[in-house]
Amino acid sequence: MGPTKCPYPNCNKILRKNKFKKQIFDDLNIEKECDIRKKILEIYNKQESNFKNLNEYNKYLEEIETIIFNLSHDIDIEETTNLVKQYELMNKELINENNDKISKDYENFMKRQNLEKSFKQTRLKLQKEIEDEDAKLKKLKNLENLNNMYDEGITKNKNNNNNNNNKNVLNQMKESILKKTSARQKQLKELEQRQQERLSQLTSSFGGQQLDDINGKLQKPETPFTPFNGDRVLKLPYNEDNDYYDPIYFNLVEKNDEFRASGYNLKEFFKRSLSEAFIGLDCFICDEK
Amino acid sequence: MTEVVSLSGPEQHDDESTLKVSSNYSKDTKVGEGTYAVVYVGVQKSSHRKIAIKEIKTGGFKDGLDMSAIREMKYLQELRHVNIIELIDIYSEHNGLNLILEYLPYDLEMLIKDKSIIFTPANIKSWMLMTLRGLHHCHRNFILHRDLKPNNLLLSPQGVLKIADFGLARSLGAPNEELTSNVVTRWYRAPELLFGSKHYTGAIDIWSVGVIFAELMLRTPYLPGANDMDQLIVTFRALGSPTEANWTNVSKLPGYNKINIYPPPTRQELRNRFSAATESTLDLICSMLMLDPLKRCTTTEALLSKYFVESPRATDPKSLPKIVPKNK
Repeated sequence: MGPTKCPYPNCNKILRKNKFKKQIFDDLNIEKECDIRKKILEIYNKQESNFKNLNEYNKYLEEIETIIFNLSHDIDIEETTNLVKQYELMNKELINENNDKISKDYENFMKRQNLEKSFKQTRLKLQKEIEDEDAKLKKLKNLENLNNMYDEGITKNKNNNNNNNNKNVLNQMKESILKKTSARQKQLKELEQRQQERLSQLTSSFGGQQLDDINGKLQKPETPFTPFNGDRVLKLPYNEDNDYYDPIYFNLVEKNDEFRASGYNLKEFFKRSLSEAFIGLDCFICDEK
Repeated sequence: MTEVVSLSGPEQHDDESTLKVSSNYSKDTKVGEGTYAVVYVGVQKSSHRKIAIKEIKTGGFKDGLDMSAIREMKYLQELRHVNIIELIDIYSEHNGLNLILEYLPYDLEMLIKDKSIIFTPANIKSWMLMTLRGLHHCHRNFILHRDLKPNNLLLSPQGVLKIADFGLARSLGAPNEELTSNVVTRWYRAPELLFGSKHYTGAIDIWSVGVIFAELMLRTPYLPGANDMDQLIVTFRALGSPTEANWTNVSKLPGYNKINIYPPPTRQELRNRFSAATESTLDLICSMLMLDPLKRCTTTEALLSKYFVESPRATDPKSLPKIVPKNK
């Protein structure tokens, strides 16, 4: 019982129960490589942000791969293990720091993930409720219409006491549903806002910082965004008279409903005529050439 | 406002100067042929700039030059903008006309179809931004393009998108003019055109851009109707049928017919269709694909939308995905 020597002759390893593990891969070589990789990556855990440029980082990654390859293929084992040990000793502080960072990043990532999930769920729920209430409202309206029709029939028989009551009940129901819907909509808005805030908090804390760093590396400080690329005409060379009335054209457009359906806007056409009249003015061909 | 180039731009040359002009360009390889033109790649000798030459076929048309050739020259001479193809020169040779155009090796359709290329939201934003800027320049000069589709949005080797093919363009109609509703490639045709409107506006171009936007998100045509009738059904199935309530006077349009009534899509259905879209992306798509042309946004409104301001920022044209043209 307890730790014992390996039963194989000439193998001097000490076996402990807690060092045994369940095999994941059929191929033992892969299993071995994975174990080695895990161990090595806990020691060689520098991030891209620890390097000045991509090239150096790539070199570092290459170094790690060589170590893992050597260890898993039994090449220069002693030398490589010594190298790793030395590195571990030399960089103890940095290693611990980075490990902390990685676990924090992971935590942050999970937090984000959960936050987004719960946000989506509640949003969907609220939306569904709003839709349901819409449907209810529609039903009520139908009922009301029916009632009105019924009403008309009854008034002829001069007996509408009862129906007034009915109407009141319907109106009350309608109001309460409308109130609920608007409350839901408000909730929805608030929810979305809160989500934005939370997300921005998370990004501004630890996890996002690195992301910003990387983005910052890729995008050098730029000019601010302008939708029209600085090429927007705000001041026209002429003044529009909003009261201008052209009897012929207005008549044409107003008489034919097709214009409205086509989205036709007579003022746009007037603008075209005016800009054509003004476009050549103040322009000297010899300067333009 | 607009640069006035119609007078100082490409000029008609007489015979002597034609020689001078034509000798400045070399016609190298034929790269394509359409119904009314053959396109060659060449070089502008004075600047060693690569150019495209569109040789207009003459003869065979009973009224002389083909209408689209005239349209193309007429409007490209007037428009000068980074996001519109540049007409460098025109000369005539052997009774044929040659348009010297900017060399633009590939188009947006090729990119959409190349499934090895991944589009990021920032890439799509960049293409939309350049398309809308180009279209804004057309519309502020009261020119309707009338044939916007991915195939007509060309890309320069530097990744800059430019609107091309003005063969169907015309200026905004006067109330007493009737425009043909048989314009725009079917999949990108606005509902008022499908109903045979004769007094449409720039809103039809906005619709096309909206459909292209959707296509960029989906990487497959958004409203692929098999024929004109089917186009109505496909459009309304995706976006809901028009009614007098959401589109005043729609029933007065000449080609209006009450086919199947489809309900408008809910926000959630749209979210599911465009799973990668943010809320402001959806807002912009929806406002460009409003059935009622009066409710559709203008280029100015589209460019000022929240979509372009929110993160991620539109990709710099230089870093957009490109296709390396294959040498045949």
